[in-house]
Amino acid sequence: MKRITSWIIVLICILLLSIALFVTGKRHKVFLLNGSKGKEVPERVYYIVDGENKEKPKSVKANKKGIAFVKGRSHIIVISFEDLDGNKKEIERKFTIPVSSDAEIDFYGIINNTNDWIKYKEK
Amino acid sequence: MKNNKLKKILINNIVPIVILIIIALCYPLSGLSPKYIIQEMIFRLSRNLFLVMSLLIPIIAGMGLNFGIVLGAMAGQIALVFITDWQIIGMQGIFLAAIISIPISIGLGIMSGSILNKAKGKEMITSMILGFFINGVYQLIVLYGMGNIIPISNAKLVLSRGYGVRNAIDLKEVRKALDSFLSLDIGGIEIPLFVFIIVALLAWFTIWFRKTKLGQDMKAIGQDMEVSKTAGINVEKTRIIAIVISTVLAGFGQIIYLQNIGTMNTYNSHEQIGMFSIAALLVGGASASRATIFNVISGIFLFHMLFIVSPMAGKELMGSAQIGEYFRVFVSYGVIALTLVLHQWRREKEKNDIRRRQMAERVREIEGGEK
Repeated sequence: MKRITSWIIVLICILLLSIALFVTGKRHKVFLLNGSKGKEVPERVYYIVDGENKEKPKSVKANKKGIAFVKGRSHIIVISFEDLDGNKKEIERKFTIPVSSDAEIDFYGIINNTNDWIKYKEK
Repeated sequence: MKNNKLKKILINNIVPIVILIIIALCYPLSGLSPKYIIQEMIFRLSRNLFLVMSLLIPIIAGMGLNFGIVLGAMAGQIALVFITDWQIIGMQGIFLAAIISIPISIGLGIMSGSILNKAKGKEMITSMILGFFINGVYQLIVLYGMGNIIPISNAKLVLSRGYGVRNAIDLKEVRKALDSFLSLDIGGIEIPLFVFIIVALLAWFTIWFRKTKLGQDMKAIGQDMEVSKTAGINVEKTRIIAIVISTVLAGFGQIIYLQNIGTMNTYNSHEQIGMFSIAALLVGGASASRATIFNVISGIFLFHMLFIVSPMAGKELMGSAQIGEYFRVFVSYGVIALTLVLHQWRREKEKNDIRRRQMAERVREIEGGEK
């Protein structure tokens, strides 16, 4: 009985470890939108996701799309841009992605502080 | 007396000595820089050490060289197909693949061990043929089962007909995941420290395992199966455990190997692994009944040295790298044949010596009785 219990504990531990590895190692696509047609957005928005390309951030032009790949559930995005008055601004947002989804982030939503700045797409 | 000792050392180490002489002749001809060779050697050692070490435990149990490590390699590859399909990347992908490979390797190991128990004394050839047989089953599963019965959602993995896995899988998302973690750079030479730590842990495990009750049982079985049975050791079960451990370790070894390469040849990557690992171990001076961690390290070193220098030496000598490569293949597999012949010759010689000694004793006893 003791032996069976030990084996069950080991199996549960391995199962939990596997789930943790699955969740933290899962790759997600993050689509980055710099507004859609008709919306007033900065000419170019620079973005850094999870500190990648910190030295040379990638950018998305107005009304265009970009893509980033992330690993795991919790992430940080930092966007920097010049507003309509020419002032430099930087905004940081934290976000999570469910295991079986990809995400779509709209910079327009982040800049205007709307609730729907992130949407999830089932894979 | 001294001559006899020297002769014995020479006979026991004939393979590494021959290889060392060949390398010594080829190296100056190759024109390769020492820095390049050191870097290549470090990478190749980190890539193969784990896989070759997986051969040690069945040798302790007297089961010879386990050609059946290809079974573990197949388990590792199936696990890599899954993590690629699920898009689990980086270090997590590697560790998840290792976990997934465990039950497959255990299943294959139990099956292999049970069959080898029915073929005692002929384990090497049986495990080799078993490898070919399971390779057929593997191909059937991967070529027809995956995408059909086993769901594969990643279109990049599946053949255009809708089922079956493609011939080559790009492992770029897990490539060098282990190698680049805790990597050291000393004088422009990259050292994948984390992989070497894993290998050191396995080496420690192998040494520790030999001292455990199970390890001692295996040693006893390796020396004499009948005596072990009389002593109350469950011979069949212990032999199966030896093969299971070897198969599981081979699965991990194949994952380490492929993460370093970065591409998986779905239908071929595992095929030569058994032959290659065994050749490397034998080149290091091991035999079918005795192998140490030193044999593993020196074997991979010598075998890969041959890999590196012979094509270049062939190019310099004959104007074609292919000739050097032919030479390497000829030498490396010739070495396996030579070692196995030497092993059998030694065994026969030992048997004859024992028989002669027993006969002499009996003659002495009879003569003593007559007097």
